[in-house]
Amino acid sequence: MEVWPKFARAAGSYFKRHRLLIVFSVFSLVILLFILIPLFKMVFLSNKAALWQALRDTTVLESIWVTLYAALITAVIGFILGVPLAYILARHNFPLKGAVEGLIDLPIVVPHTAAGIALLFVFGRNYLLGKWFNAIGINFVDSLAGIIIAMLFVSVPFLIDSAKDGFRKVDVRLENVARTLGASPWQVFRRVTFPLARRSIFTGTLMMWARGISEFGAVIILTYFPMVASILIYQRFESYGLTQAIPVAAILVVVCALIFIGFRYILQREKKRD
Amino acid sequence: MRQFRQGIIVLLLSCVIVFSGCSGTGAKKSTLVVLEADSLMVPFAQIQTAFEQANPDINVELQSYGSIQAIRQVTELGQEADIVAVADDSLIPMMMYQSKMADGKTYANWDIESNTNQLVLAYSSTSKYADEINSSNWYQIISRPDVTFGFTDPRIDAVGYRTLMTLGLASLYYNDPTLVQDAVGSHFSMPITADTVDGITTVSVPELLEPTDSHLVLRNADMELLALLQSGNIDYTIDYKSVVVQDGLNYLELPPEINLGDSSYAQNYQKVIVDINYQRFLSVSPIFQGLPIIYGMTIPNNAQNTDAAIKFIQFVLGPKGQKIFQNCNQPELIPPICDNVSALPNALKTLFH
Repeated sequence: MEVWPKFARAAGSYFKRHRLLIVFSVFSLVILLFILIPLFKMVFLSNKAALWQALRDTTVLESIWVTLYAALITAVIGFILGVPLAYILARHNFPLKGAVEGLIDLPIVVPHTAAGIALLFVFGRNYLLGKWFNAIGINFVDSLAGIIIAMLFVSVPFLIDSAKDGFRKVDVRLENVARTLGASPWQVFRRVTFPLARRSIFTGTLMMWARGISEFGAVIILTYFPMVASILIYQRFESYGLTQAIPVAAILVVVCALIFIGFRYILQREKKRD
Repeated sequence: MRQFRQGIIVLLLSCVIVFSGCSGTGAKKSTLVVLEADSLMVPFAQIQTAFEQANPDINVELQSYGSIQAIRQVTELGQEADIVAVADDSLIPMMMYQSKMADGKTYANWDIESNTNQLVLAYSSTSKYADEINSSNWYQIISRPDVTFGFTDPRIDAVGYRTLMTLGLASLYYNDPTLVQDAVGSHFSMPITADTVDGITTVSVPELLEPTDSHLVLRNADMELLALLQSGNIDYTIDYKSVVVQDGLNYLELPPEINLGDSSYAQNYQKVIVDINYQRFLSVSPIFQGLPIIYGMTIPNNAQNTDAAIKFIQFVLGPKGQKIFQNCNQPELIPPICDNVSALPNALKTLFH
């Protein structure tokens, strides 16, 4: 007889103490299931025979490889060109800085078909940059270069924003100390600023890579072949129907999951080491 | 801080109120979901405006896709559309009469054929040899290796297999047996071939289509090719006249014997067959015989707003609708045809005697 009220009291006080955690857990569970159920369903409910067929289909494997590879090159280019911009935005003030920061995010907002068309009118063979690159043998229609500029355009804001936040969190006083100890600006950047901001930069690069992998609208305007996975999935759906499209999507999801979970672990291990 | 927080809350709340106000004004409207072929976008957008003016209680929702894709939205993705309108009327019987819904009924059992179109050769002022092209040399020019030809994937889009039909017919018309191969076929890793036996040309499309050189640019829809044409990245492509005119591009009319736009040449069009070698092709029969371009529409059996759909079809076939189509270079079929009048809703039967 004594047990129930006691239990209720205990539960009540547990709830009181952890109210925030419990409420947040419920909300978290909803959003987690929202993300995971569709992905799991796609992977586990896809037709086994079709999945097996897709796994041995060189077109599928090649397109997944091209996607990962092109998005990776894109992320490297974004890293080389984006990190300096992020640093300047974090450390220096100049006129219209707010406008510049707003413009950088524009590619995220612009519909990606429009982004692809915009790129076409700059890198197309009749336009300035297209002509220059053509002269050195780089062509942006139906080529890896086309995939890369499309991915770069839509994904580089993620890296710039993340790196900028990373640089902002680095205490300027640490940089100043290094300077007074005789380090050159380059040395300060290499030894102090960059290492302290590296986690944000790395996360940003990873986000950029991921965003590149998923890009469809801008790529398809510029480049149909070599075929990236998103276009292959669309093409399979349009020509063969759902049963043939889902396995390709499932394979891409699994490959990406392995890569990104892997990187998260590396990031976490590094965090513990610090 | 407190003020800031209150400010944010007020801002969010006012956004919610304003947005919900926008969508909730006026009387309750019923929604009419129309899945349309891409090449119907412009006339249907105008019809939408006129139709909604005449029927203020109906809100028309247009969704455009490639024709095959539009039907798949219904038959594979389970979308409950009120009207399906496609650029090739034969796709409706092919894809909707056999496949069955959960309750055992077919997705559709009639098809109204209403409008036509024709294929033209589209180009821009910067296209190579644009100054010398005419109706007697165009097929040679698009075959030149230094010319870039844009080609819609025949496995996905009606324009694609119709382009092959026109090229196949052109090879008979101009007596150039290697035209299909020169213009498109031999520029793929697995070639598209054309063989003429007893006056019938069969164009065979392999399962894998991957261009091997820069003469050919393949895309899944003509919309992307037109963007490439306008930006000068391709020189020529074959597309519907209505679409080319709407985009303000230059074009060359093709002879009626081969442009698929003249019903009086229907016999002639049958001299070409496009055979798409799709072993796994699920919902479309892979053999397309040459036919005049005729748009088809139907009300799927799982439509939610049949009354509005009937009104919409009456409007499309009526004088206002047909005037819009006329202005869009998609002339009406006189008279419109229905393949199964007995299955039509009564209100539409009167249109077909």
